Amino acid sequence: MVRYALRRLVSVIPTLIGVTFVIFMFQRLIPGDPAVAMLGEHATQENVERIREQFGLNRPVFLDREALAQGDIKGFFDTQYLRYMGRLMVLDLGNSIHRRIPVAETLALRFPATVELALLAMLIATTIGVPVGIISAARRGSFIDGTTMIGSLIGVSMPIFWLGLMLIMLFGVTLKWLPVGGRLSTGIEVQGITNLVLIDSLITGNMAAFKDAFQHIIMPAIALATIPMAIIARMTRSSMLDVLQEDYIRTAHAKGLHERIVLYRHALKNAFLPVITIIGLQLGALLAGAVLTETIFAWPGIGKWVYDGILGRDYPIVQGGTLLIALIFIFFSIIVDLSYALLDPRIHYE
Amino acid sequence: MNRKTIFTLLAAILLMSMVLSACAPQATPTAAPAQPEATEAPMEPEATEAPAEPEMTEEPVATEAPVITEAPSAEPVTFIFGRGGDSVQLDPAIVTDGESFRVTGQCLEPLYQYEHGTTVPVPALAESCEPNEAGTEWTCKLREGVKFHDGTDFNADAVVFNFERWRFTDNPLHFESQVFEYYEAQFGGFDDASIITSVEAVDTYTVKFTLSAPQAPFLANLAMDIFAISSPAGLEAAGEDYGTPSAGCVGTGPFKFVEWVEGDHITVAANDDYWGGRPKIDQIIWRVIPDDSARFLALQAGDIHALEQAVVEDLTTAESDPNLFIETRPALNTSYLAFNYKLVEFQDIRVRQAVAHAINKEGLIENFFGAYGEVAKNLLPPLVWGHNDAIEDWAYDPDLSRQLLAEAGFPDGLSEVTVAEDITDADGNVVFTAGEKLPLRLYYMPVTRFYFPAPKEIAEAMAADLTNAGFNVELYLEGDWPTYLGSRREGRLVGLYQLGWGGDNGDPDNFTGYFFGGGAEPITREGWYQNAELADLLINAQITVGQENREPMYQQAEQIMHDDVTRVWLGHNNTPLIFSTKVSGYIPQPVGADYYEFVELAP
Repeated sequence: MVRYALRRLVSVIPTLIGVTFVIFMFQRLIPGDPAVAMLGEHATQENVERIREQFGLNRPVFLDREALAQGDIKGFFDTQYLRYMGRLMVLDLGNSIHRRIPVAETLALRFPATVELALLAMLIATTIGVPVGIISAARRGSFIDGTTMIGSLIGVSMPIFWLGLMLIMLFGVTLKWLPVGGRLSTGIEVQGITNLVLIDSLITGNMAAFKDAFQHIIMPAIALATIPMAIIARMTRSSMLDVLQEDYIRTAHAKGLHERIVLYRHALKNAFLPVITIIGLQLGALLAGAVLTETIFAWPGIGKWVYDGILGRDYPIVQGGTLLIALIFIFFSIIVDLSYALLDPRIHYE
Repeated sequence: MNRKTIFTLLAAILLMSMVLSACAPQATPTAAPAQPEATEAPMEPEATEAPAEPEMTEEPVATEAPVITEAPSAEPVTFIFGRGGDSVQLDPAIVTDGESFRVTGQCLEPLYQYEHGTTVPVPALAESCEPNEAGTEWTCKLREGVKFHDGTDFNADAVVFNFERWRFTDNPLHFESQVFEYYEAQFGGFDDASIITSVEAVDTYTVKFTLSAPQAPFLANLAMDIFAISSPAGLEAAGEDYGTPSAGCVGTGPFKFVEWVEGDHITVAANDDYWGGRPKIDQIIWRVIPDDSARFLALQAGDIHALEQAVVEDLTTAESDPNLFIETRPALNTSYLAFNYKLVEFQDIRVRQAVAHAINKEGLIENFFGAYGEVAKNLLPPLVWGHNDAIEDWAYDPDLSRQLLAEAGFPDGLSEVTVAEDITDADGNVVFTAGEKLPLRLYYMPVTRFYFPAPKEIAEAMAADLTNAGFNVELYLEGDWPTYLGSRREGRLVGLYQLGWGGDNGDPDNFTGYFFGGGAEPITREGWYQNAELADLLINAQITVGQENREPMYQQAEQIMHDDVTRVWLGHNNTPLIFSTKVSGYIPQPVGADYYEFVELAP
């Protein structure tokens, strides 16, 4: 088990190198140039060229064959990709082209906002989705089952931008219960420890800030939770239904065990494997940032930032952001795999 | 056991975020809110052409206080402005985006500024600037007793310091990572290429600029937000970080930089010692709310006091909402439909005329620009001097279009075009070969710009108009915005294409001269347009001193462009801004940053 975990961790490195390679290739395949994106309608030829030079964009992407032909070995390797990898070795993600701010610095500020939102959304999705799935499965074909499954179908297909605007309109504008966007009200300050505002305000005992932060996060978290909640509910239900048809469940019933014990102790534990997979992958997806939710609720996470980076051809942002997202996904797939062994004694990793 | 797994998951994420946060900059303490105090009344806005009256508002109605905050006592009066995107940098010399100037315009000031609501340059940090007879030397008297926000003195040395930083590429504060885009554009280049050949401090409060050739728009250039004077001490202290969120900017303006939380908000506080009088509000916060509808809802909820950029439906709502009013930023922009002149068919003026007569501009403006747009018959908006009002626009007349097409040899209409010469990309590869036949494309912009609302819908309506007049066009999406701009720059939009322009300094040279001043040769960026007569006229207008001498030249240029059907000018868009009725005194500017120092907020 430990050896398996280590092996998986070591395999992260070539995977990440592959990721950087693919990102580099695709980025350069998309037409459009950071300099033009930056200068807009005003771009003159000279300026575009100067910016390209300043950011090394005039160099070949992977290897410079022309330099090699001239016998310039150093020039052969002096390319955009290898320069980037060189910096990455010393954990330098580079600076944003447009803003000149180190990418790592912005990630450190924005990623916690994404983490906070994703965790709360996942908490909501799981605490509602799993019980709903269990109840639906236990009462298959009942009115409750029908209602919740139709509800989850709506949840899966709900456009987030519409739901978000409706939530804002109801709770922000009409009822005026909740602020309509952002992470904290102006004037409220929280000392940064983890940069997760809810946790920092609790640690420092700043209850006013905690309340404010909670009021800000609750609407986007609900909006973000709808789709995973519906997916989790449906997955839990179908997985439970499979398990409930197994012989050992019949045996348990035959032994005269209480329905609740059969359901929770015998069925749920075995039905949980695919649910954990879904929860892990969904959490990974949420942690990759939620462009729509972040846009509507003006939430300063990484989703909108990377998205803008792609539109603006701000390569270092796209590279840094996608590298982090890839890391998260790899991380969660490892965790999910390992959790199988914990949940299912039949699974062993060697 | 599943609980255990979930715990592992949570713990791992927490750990990751802690590791990341370890390298986060510590929260900087913000300046104490400025105490509102009785000061001399700030200079009132002069009576100028008043910005458009708030439209369709009724009596202000008292609303309940909607902002959900723990209100501390004696809260500073804070004006909160909602916008779609964040500033790029707060060093105006190295940026080109309006969201940056929106902020730097409050903290930094140039030697000249634009008169309220107009594009006329009037003194700011300079009390006057006078040219010599030849127009090659400008002597500026500076305002005395002005201090930068860091307490250092504003004087001639500070002006020289800034201009030398912009001009000399080997200046220690002219960093490689910075692009001084506008200095080059407005003053001809860096180092020896600069039109400004020297900037001298004659005495503490006098600066002399020497130019290599007369530059007619010199004062209009000086007044651009880009050439605002930063504190030399501030520049030196921050080094390459000047203008980034950690360093902000240091100027002489009515507001001082306080903090910038990237992607979220920027805060500035009133400058108690402002030479023009302390602003009436204590703080401005610009909040980023990317979604147009959500931003409008934030205004309705009272979370913000004002916003720019709203969808048409929300504007209609705002017009009838008693708690809101709309003001417009006068249009200093033009949208157009351009021709690619490397197409054989478009080289025939009759075909261009046929396009011009085919487009129902009135209908397009009414339906897509709404109440805020006006039909354009020239490149120069009416606000800019040099605008030629005598020109009679091409009438909407599909029958005439068909007739013109028939005369040009297309009695059955035009649905295919022919490439006249090879068109290459940046690397020299031929993309379109001479003689190649292409379907007639109408390239539409992939994004909405302030001068071009709903480009795709407008393109569809244009296509319908064109079909009606005998053209068979294919709507074409070239790619996203950078791709579109890139292809346009390389002259690779082979057909009709949409684009527009927003002025930088209110001088006609910045419109007409920028576009067609290089037209002795085919201009790649402008669809290979070539017109030596027009180019000569515009180059001459750029070095002629005196508005009275230049104005007829630009009017003549407009006439040439009209007669040649250079392009089909479409519209000028006045930008609506929506305010809570609590707000008064906001002055939208057609060029340069809006004035915030007269803003008042009713409780």
